[in-house]
Amino acid sequence: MLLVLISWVIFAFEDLGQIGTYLSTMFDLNGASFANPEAIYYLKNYIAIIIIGIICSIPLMSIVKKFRKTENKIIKQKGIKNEDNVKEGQMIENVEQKEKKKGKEITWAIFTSIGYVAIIILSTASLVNNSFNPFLYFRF
Amino acid sequence: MVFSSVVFLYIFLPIMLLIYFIVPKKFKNLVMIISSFIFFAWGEIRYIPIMLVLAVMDFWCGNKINKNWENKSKKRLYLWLDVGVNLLILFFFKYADFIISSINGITGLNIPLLNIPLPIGVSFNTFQSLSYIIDVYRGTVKCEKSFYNYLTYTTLFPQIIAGPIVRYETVDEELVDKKISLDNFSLGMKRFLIGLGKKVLIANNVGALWNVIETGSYGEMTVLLSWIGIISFALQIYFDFSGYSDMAIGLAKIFGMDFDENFNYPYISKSITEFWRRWHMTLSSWFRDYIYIPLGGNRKGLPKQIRNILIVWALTRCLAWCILEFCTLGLVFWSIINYRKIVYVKGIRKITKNIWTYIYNATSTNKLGNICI
Repeated sequence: MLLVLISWVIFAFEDLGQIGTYLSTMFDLNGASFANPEAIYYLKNYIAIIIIGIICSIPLMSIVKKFRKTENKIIKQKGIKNEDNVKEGQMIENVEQKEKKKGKEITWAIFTSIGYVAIIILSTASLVNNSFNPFLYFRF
Repeated sequence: MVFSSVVFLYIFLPIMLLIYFIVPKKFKNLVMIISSFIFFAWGEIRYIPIMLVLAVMDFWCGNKINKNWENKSKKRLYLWLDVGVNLLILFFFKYADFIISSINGITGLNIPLLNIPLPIGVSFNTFQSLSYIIDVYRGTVKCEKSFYNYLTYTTLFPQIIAGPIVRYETVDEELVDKKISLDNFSLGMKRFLIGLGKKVLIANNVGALWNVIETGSYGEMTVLLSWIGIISFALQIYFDFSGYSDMAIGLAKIFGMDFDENFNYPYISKSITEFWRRWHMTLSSWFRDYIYIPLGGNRKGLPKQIRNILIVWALTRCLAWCILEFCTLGLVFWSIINYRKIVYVKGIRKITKNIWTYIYNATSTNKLGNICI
């Protein structure tokens, strides 16, 4: 990942000198100070979006699912040991679980649709606002 | 026109979709073609005639290859004719001015520069045409018998700006019979919105930050700021590019087509090899299938492998340089990977691998799960 970041630096600047300066600043080789009020200011203002970005660039859903799976497995293993012969109870439990699951799905659907609507509204707002919207593909 | 604009989102797309779903099956491709042309013409109209000529050319050559299937030399002739014309046009747009200025420099002549801006999409169009003609030549796809369908394929507007590269074989059936359904519509819409969010809400915001830091309007540069800057640039590029791909894939789904995925969470990669396998997947597979492997790949001994890597590297330098600037970088990675394969620094590799596996295991969910319970 570090290598990727370094190569983005090389990619971002066309000028070799600039690349050098930037990289040496990154690794504190040219005596630049660690932070100053401006840096803190930008950090404060943008930390939220950076964190959101980082979170969004990892496959969160599949990690959560994986986690749940292992959790369920362990619970199941414990469950089987403790209550081997309570079939009826299990049946009722199953029905309950199904209903629960359905309810969960519905809430999830509502939740995501709200998310999508939010994306529409927010995107439109920021597009209409005519804020920074660069087009990177002119040279393609 | 770009996807992330009010005109596209609130005028072009709704009108286009409405017409697209109303007209009978036969005319859906026509709607696609016309809307693609409007989409391109919005920015610049000049490229459309070239695009048409190229489409005719590919189509004609494809059919000729098919007709002369037994005659190997003729077949090859048509293949090279089409490849040549395609590349010529690409190189004209990319390098005409560069060549003129170098001629001026060497001979002292004063030929005026043409100053042609590169038409949007010319590279992706070339990639697509080449994949079609080479596949027809190899016999892996049947040549398209209807020009109407072929034109739909080459002009297909969702992917033309930033990929993914759509090969003819991925959509050939869907050009005729589209899988239009409510499910696909809603899936596609969701995908499109996710892409839009990635682009407008994340990429644009971190991009603004990077813009400030890059241009140096922040005062004194500090270590902390340089790290914030480069992280924001990495995020901007990823979300912009993958957002565009998501929007393209989503739109295609709405229209009843399936495109290939282009990104697979590149930033979780544990190595550079893996990163390149997850980043802009359709381009790397294009180079692998149409250039590296036909040249013999890595099966013909070390000297040839090195030669092949160099050829691909040089090609991407010229072809993809500006095309997919992002990919020069990839090629650098790629040569590193292959270099590593050749030289094989076993020790270093082992150590880094061990460290990564350790970190990965320590943070992986399985362990976490156990710890929590």
